Amino acid sequence: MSKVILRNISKNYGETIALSGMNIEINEGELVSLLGPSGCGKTTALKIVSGLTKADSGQVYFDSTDVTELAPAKRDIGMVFQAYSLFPNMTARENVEFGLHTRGLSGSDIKLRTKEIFEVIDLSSQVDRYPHQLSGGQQQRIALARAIVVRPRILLLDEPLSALDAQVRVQLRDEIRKVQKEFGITTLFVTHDQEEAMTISDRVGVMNQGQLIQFGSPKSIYEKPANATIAKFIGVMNEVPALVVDTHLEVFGVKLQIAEGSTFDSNQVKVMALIRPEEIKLVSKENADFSGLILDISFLGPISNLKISGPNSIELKCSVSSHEINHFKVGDSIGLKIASPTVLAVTK
Amino acid sequence: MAPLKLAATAFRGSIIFLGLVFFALPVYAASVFAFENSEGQYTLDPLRNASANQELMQSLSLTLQISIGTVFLTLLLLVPTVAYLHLVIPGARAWVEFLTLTPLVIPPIVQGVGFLYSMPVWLKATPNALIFAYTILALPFSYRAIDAAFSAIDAKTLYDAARSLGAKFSYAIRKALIPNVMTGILSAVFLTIALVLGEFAYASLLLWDTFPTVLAVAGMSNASTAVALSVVSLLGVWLILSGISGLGRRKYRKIEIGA
Repeated sequence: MSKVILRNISKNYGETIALSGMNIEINEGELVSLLGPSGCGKTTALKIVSGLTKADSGQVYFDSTDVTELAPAKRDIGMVFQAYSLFPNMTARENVEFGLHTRGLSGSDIKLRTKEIFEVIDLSSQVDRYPHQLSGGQQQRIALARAIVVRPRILLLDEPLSALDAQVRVQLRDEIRKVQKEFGITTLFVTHDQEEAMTISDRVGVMNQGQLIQFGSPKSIYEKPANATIAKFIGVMNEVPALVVDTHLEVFGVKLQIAEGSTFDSNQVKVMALIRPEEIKLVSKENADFSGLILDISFLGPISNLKISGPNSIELKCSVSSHEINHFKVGDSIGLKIASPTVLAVTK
Repeated sequence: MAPLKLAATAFRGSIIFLGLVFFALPVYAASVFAFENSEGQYTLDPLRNASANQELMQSLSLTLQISIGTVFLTLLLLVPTVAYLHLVIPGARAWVEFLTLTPLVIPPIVQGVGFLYSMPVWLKATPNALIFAYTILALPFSYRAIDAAFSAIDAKTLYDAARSLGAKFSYAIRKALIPNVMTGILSAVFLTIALVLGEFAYASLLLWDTFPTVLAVAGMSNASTAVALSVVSLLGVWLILSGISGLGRRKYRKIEIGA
């Protein structure tokens, strides 16, 4: 396993800027996700790390070695693709052995490693099946085994779960994390699914329009988004009207601090405050900052999502633990409080 | 079985039956004409006569040589071209496809005369000239067969997967791509052979005695021999084509049975 460094990477496709001066460092054994909407440049970044795409400028380092000009075959990587990429003419076993043959391993080593990896992914009974005889989830697990069995310096995962149904996606996501930790492989994972990125990663890089706009732990990105775009992209946000009063923000008459990363003109008074659903707490009416009317309750097991009509009939989303709302029903009036002392403000 | 399903099955069955009759009836009629003697008995005499005809056998040998040359040139030209189009410049595929259609719209006489003018004398003086002509003439069929095979496998992803696993260019093409487009390649091969075995206009224009031209001449003096050979070559090509479609499925079927 290796440390991966991308230094000032840029890539254009004709007039379209795919990547613009991207810098990132992935530590040894770390799983980093690149998260962003379609066309933000995350797959281009991954392909530049793999060598399948050449950067227009900038350098790629594996540890201290500059691999920018190195062919993919010489980079010692493992890669799992979004599309099913098992070779249709080969059985599951032959697919897994492919990378071992290209590396010139002996027959006994190939046999041993193949047996081990099939046990790890729990598909030993499927070794002699062809890809068309396997389910989508099984195919991606074998693609993962094929990428890992060569013990690559870097594992690259290009939206490997996006073609799978929800249940298999969660299973395979957990399996990827388990295997990645077990082998300690430095991994770059590309996805547009924020839940996937947040659950699987040590750190997440949020990308937009060819730029890495925030890089940090899932918790820090969720709790302290660098700007409104990230705040709205990661998780659910309430956008409520607010007033800028001196250096503070007034939301439903409550004074709050303006968070770093807020984007509005200094002369602007009317702005929008961004508040997470779980930051709006149910409290007794005596302790409430404001009150609201329950419009809808969605029970999701341990938590429930409420739709509330707040002051001035502004609709708010609120997440609370299910036992908190046992004695409430649609149409009830409730007391509410904004738990976070700091909120992001954006131009109205 | 529900009446609607039964009606649909009957409709499909009748369409297939009509199709079979449409193709089989002329072959049957030709076989009767070729192999039935004046006493109403079936005989292989027309084929014996054909094998005794030196000119016919020489033309068959020449045509088979030209077939091999045409197949070789077709594959040499098309497999790397189609692979390059799919892997590097997929946007150019529509243009190349359009180019490969031109032999269908340019009349053979124009193409034949064009060849005569454009080929160097050393090439024109040998029947090998026909290899180049037939390669171009077969393009609409051979290109499509190979292109369809590449399209069916997501060649770019397979190639990238092979490279990411440490395969060099030639190894990736040889192990990860070619086996998966083999059915398309074989289709192109046999469509090309079928075309060469039946092509008359070019050979006639370029004044070479190939199997179809000699067969046409033989047909004027001994029609049953010519028709017998036509039936045999038609059945031969049909068997080959059936073999190709069976080949692609055989391996998988074996696994499914064993599974």
